[in-house]
Amino acid sequence: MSEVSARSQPIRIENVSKSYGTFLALENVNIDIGSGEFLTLLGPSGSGKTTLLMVLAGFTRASSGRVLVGGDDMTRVPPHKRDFGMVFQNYALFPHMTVFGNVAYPLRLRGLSKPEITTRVERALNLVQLGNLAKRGIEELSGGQKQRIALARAIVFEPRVLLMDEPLSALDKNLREQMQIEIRALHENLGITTVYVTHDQREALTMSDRVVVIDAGRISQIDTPRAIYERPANAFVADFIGESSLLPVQAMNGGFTFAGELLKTDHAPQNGCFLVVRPEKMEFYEPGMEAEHNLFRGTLKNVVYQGETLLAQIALADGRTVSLRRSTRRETMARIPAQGAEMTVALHRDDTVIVPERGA
Amino acid sequence: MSATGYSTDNAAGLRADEVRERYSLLGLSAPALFLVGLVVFIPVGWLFWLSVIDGGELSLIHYRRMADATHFRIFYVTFEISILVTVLALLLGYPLAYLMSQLPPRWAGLCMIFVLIPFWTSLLVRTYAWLVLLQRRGLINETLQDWGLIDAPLRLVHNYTGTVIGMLHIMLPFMILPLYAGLRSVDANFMRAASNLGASPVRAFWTVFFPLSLPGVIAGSLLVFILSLGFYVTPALLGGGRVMMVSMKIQQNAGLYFDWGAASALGVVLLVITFVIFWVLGRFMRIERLFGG
Repeated sequence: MSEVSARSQPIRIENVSKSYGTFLALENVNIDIGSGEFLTLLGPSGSGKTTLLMVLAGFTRASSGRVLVGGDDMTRVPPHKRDFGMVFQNYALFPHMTVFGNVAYPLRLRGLSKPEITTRVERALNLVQLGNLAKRGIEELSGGQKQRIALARAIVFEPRVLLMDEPLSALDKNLREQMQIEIRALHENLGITTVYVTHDQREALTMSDRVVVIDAGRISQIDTPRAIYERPANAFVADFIGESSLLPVQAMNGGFTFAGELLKTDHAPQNGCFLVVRPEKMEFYEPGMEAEHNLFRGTLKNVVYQGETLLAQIALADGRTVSLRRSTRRETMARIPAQGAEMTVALHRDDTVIVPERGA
Repeated sequence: MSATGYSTDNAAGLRADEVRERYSLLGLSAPALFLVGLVVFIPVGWLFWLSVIDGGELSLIHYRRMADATHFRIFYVTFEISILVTVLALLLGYPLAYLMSQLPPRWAGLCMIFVLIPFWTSLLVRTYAWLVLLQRRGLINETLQDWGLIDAPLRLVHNYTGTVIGMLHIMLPFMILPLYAGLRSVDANFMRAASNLGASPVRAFWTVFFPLSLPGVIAGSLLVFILSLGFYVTPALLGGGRVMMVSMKIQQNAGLYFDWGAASALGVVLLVITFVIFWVLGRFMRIERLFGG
């Protein structure tokens, strides 16, 4: 058991829409978030992911729909009565209060006794490993420390759910990756239902139980990180998450062809129209692969060396490009032909995914 | 290789460039420095010199003469009016500045125009306008009498009341502009955070927004207070001679009695008091930060 407990409650977002004049920021959004789940809203800027979080927090009024938390209808409850913890993008730590004052703020509002407040603040600060900074001013903290204090302030009052609005976007890469792991560990420790907003797909894949991909106010896909990556629901998800080339395919006799050849695949919806080619799923061709692989012949256009991996871009006969990503081990380097040489790459049928158009 | 451990190739030339750059920056500010010297330091120095000269000799007589009940009364009234005007301007200005800071930029701009129009109108015109409104047979008294709310006209002008009303009107933009800048810079996320943590709107305002708006409050108050201390035109016209402020006494000494020594001494005392106020406030916070430095 953790020292700081949390009431973990399920969230149900029912038919939520938000319009600004004629602009639809959110369109009939339905999400069921399980108790204790870590759910990430992922989308490009302007997709509506932050609007949805603001509707959850109560700062933005939905045009229609309902938000239920643990069975209570929260849709028309003002933010200060919702009892949700939130971590803001720029932390929003009160600069006129100390670290202690910030973390104690929600407890004071709830009328807790002084000793109770002190104990709880200490516990929350220890949880984020900053127990020694209680007396510091906010301006004296580093970005990473501010991040942790904001987190401590958001969980100290044992909120019903935890909302996070791109909390790591201001940190540099190393610190961000470290915090991702820490936040995830904290979530596991507390078991609090968490809704996390990010535009960073790697962050979403690393941290979440499930990811909601939002595009232009509509949900494109809700699934586990692995399913989102390996089995994107449409061209938008395939394009937005990870690297991919989308090659147009033709439907023929219940199957799909690319460049005149029938594709071997088990992942082809009726309305499919693009083949998703992820560079790291591509393999060097070896004789005998024809049985289970789809082959792509072309000429090696160029090789981009990127440290741990390299990216080989192969121009196909029709002018389209597919890429192959391999680690920079010696044996890989030896297999890369000269620039302009003929080259064949292969994609296993399990990795051959055909998706419908964006938004379909 | 030199003793410092690095090559000194081209070092002299690079250093010369740096020095030249620094001097050229100084050169840019030279006209401003010259002007400030000419119109501030020389007159203030001369003012101080006049205040300690009597009949061609060094003397503190002008200061000693000030230590009487009349002068005490004048300083007292000056401070009382300045504080009152500052407090009233803050009470009237804060809600408006708050509203403007929360409005979308377009509407805030419209409000700003209403604040600035009087600001752009001549001080004298506005003061005479108040005279027209407030006098015995002025618009306000006539209207109140027509409605039967009062029997005899209220004494609204040529006294303390008129002075405060007029000064308040003139000073309001000086309060609202820095206040608005201060309130505008309070990130909306602070209020959201407070609300999210469980603070009602009123509670969030007093525990978060108001403390964070204090730099704007102090900047506006300081500006209004200091401008009020030396205000002449409006109190002279609307006070009707019954309200004597330091500036009017200075004018009297210089214009009526040609006693430049006494006028200068009053000016010096006012200046010193103003500096002391700045200094005391500066101990609590950094003044330059107040004015957006």
